[in-house]
Amino acid sequence: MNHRGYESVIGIEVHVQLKTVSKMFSGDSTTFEAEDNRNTSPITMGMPGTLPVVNKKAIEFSVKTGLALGCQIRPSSVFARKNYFYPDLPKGYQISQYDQPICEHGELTFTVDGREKTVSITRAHMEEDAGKSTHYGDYTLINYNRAGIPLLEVVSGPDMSSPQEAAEYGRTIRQIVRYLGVCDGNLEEGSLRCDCNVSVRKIGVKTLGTKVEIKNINSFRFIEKAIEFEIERQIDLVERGEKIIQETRLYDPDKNKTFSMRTKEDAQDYRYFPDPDQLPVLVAAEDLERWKSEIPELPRARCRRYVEQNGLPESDANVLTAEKEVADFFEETAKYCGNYKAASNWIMTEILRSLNESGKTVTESPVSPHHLGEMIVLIEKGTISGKIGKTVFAEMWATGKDPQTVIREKNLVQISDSSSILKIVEDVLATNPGQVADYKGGRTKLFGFFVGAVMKASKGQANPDLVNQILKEKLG
Amino acid sequence: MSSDRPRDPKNNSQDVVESQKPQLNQQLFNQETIDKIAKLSRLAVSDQQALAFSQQLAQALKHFEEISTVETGGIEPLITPTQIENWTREDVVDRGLSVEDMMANAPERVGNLFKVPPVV
Amino acid sequence: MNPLQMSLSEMAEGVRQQKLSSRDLVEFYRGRIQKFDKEINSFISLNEEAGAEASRIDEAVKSGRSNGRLLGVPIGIKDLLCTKGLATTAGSKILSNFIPPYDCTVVSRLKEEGAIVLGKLNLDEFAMGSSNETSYFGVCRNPWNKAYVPGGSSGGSAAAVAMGLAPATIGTDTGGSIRQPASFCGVVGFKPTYGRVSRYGIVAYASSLDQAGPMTRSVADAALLSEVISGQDPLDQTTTQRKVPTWQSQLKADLKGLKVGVLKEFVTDSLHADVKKTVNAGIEALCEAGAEIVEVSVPLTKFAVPVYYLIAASEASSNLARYDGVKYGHRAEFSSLSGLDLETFYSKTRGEGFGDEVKRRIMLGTYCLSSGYFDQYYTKACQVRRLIKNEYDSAFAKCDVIVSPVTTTPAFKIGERVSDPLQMYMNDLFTTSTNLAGLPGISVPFGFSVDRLPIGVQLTGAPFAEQSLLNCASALEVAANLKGVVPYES
Repeated sequence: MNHRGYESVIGIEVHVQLKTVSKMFSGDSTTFEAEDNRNTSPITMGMPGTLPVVNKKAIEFSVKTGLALGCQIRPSSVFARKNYFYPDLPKGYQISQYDQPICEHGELTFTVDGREKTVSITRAHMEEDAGKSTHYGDYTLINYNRAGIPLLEVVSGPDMSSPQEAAEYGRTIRQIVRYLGVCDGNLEEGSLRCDCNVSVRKIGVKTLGTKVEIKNINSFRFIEKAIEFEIERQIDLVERGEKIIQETRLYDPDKNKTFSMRTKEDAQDYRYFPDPDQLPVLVAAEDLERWKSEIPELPRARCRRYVEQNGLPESDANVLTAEKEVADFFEETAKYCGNYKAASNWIMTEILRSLNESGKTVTESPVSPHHLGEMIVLIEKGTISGKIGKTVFAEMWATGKDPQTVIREKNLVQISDSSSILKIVEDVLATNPGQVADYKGGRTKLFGFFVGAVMKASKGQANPDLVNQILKEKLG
Repeated sequence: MSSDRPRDPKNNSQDVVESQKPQLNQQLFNQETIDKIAKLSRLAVSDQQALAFSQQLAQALKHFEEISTVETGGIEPLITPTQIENWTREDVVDRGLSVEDMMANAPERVGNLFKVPPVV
Repeated sequence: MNPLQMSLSEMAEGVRQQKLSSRDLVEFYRGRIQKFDKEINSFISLNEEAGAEASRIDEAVKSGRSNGRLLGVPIGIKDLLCTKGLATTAGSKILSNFIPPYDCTVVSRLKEEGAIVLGKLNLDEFAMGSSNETSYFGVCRNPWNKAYVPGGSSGGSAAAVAMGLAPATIGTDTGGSIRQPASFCGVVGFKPTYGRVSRYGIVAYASSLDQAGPMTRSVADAALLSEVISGQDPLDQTTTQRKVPTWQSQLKADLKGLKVGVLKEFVTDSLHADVKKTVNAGIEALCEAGAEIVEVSVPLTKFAVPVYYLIAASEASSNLARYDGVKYGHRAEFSSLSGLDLETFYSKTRGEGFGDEVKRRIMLGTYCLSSGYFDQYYTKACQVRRLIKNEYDSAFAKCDVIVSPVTTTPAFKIGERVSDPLQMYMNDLFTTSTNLAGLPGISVPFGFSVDRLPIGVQLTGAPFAEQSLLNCASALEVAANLKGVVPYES
């Protein structure tokens, strides 16, 4: 992508917080809401002599994510210690993976502006999170509840060239980890964190420019904006002949600017070495096979299936597959009623709108896929009209009742018997002699008026097709 | 002294006249290395200590470097000595101790949080 | 009955049969500590609850509710092992005020068998030393001659057993820290195979080398204590799932069918004549007990000290980073945190909290792991370590147990070597390779120097072959016939 004769080179590190119930190396709880330092133990606190024992679930989640990202899984990977002093780091080192990460050499394909983009995944390694610091000017307070929560750091190659690609990459990672059920993907709570490495170079130049890391951006829209700002800032610097400093910057969404977090005087020397408290992490062949078989169909494949096999427009398929639970809801509904298009329409309109308005997730929907499917069948059978369907849906949403019950209780069954409709039509024509005369005199536009009047007289329950048909016969 | 090594307050280094400062082993652990390593290790080291350490560590390291004569091409480093079976922990929460157990040793605390110098 | 002449099993049996009370045992040893430990300084602190705990056991016995292989037996614990509610200092200022809210697995297992923690024993700071002179709580003295060191780092654990201040103690061994002080003080010191004994809750010095073990008056006591403390621990991934054998009941001093390898490299210029004489006598005794003597060679042991110090210091530099004055332990005094630079906060706290030997090793380790030196020192040392282990594997294809000196000399004088760390390090010549290869090792008292300082003989076994090792130790013990030879009036 051309920005004023420059191109940008973007790589992203995503920290995926793995949704285990206990921490990476101890039995401490991982709940987000907990009183200060409640989710700690001598192990988390780095008390003398305590030792890490790895959580098998964290390995499983890491391997599944790696497989979903097309990575090779190391049968034996190694935990290393990354040594540095910081108050939020209880042991004076972070247990991470260094030269032998669990996942390597993957790739991720997604669509940006209708174009396919493939980004290489250099590696994905397991590590433990640090604690949380709260600053009060004169001092800082430390809470270790978060320390030791398992993370998978997914490192992309420097393969993205626009802010849009970067944001879409992030969204796709989020979508996948949520599909896998390994992370809830909440950027605001920090369960998914994206650090973006950005550099610029004149178009045609092969060497990479000095990269700047932007940290702690809490939405994908802000990732796009932060990178946009950063690219312009770096080009400005280069144009003015100034040097780009390798540093970490933060993004301020209110000002739409990045600013320097701290310039490290000298490069950190983390003194990585294999953690002697642990043995290498072995992924047994049978575990690998089982985990592979447990990976659900991923959004991209699912989307393609909806388009190719079920004839949905790509835009609809994209919306339906954005969240696994919505896609599951859709498929269950469609399976019940046998009509993918109708199921898609109802979910895209009524379900998603109602969820949005009520702040509910699809799994909390008061209307179950089964009930929605049943309602679609009732419409197809002509028991109710599509219009009455909306009334039925609203009642189902409000009460959680099944459509049959709603229709019965509210007496909403469609009138599809010709003699009943004929009677209503005759009544309507009888009470509007003037309009009948006008119509017959050539004002055919009045046909709609008669339809409306008949529907109103039937409380909306008359079968519209029959109403049309009978009216035409009667009005000649 | 250009070094920004944290000083032991009891040791007033300004009193040491430049010319009186003993020479350190220049090859292995010179003043610069000691400063760098002390900083990386977060250890305040007085000038006397720095001098003694540089000599002792240089001597020890010189001896330890004998291992460079051992041919180790292609040898996998040994991290854990014995063959031990690999096993892992199940993902189960274990709430053993109270917050107070965890906080009782804190040098300085505010409520159930640890108090440290301003970090920013 | 004289508790100084009873085995641990006899004590536990005595308590169970109500022939003696746990309370009396505790009071007996507390009395001796009060009387003799001012001079020896083997204990850093005593468990003030020990008497009450003993009484509870006596009560339980009376109501027929109690059992355990160490029922009511007081045991001294090296102050490197965390004990719930009892200060655990690691012999350092930086942990001088630390009270763990948990027991290390070794202590939990002792308690499960009815043992009582008598008190916490002196040691070199963070187990870094070979003389117990680096302790923040003062030097511990050798009961045989108080001008001499008891050895280290488990100096207090060895001295207390030698002086009859505890029936048995627990030490830890990273490069010889059980076997060397055992030799210097004339007690049995046993380090099981790496992976046998959980390290959970033991203040870490060098994780891939540390292993706890018993220090006792007899091989049988050592076998029993090892049985109690060994076995897989869900809190330490480096413990083995192998079943723990019943070492004590299978002990036999008849060595028929066993091959004992004499380490060719043991004869060095620096070997003290009395040590040489003692070890040779030990070899003869093993032969007389029925063992076949063969010569074996582990040529790379001459590099064991450098490899050991490079690896141990590297691991230590990282293991000791947690002592930072934030969560527990010593924090330097600052008039105010406001405006205080984080680096100064750490450096001053750690600078004050650690003694010189610890600082030296942290700095050496930091250097070895630092960018540009990592491959040259750390990786290289780990490669040589593998070669040393391979050599041991070959040696154990030819024999069951290897016999060697523990140290080149008997105990040395207090203050003699403090100013020369390298000379101090070389003292570990015969002990460090055992840790590097993760092997079980034991020091058995076998003689005295002309200055009447004890000298032990070291036996090293193949991984997890502790029984052969203990049987050889038993044969040496029988031949030495040192029972009742003690540094105090009995």
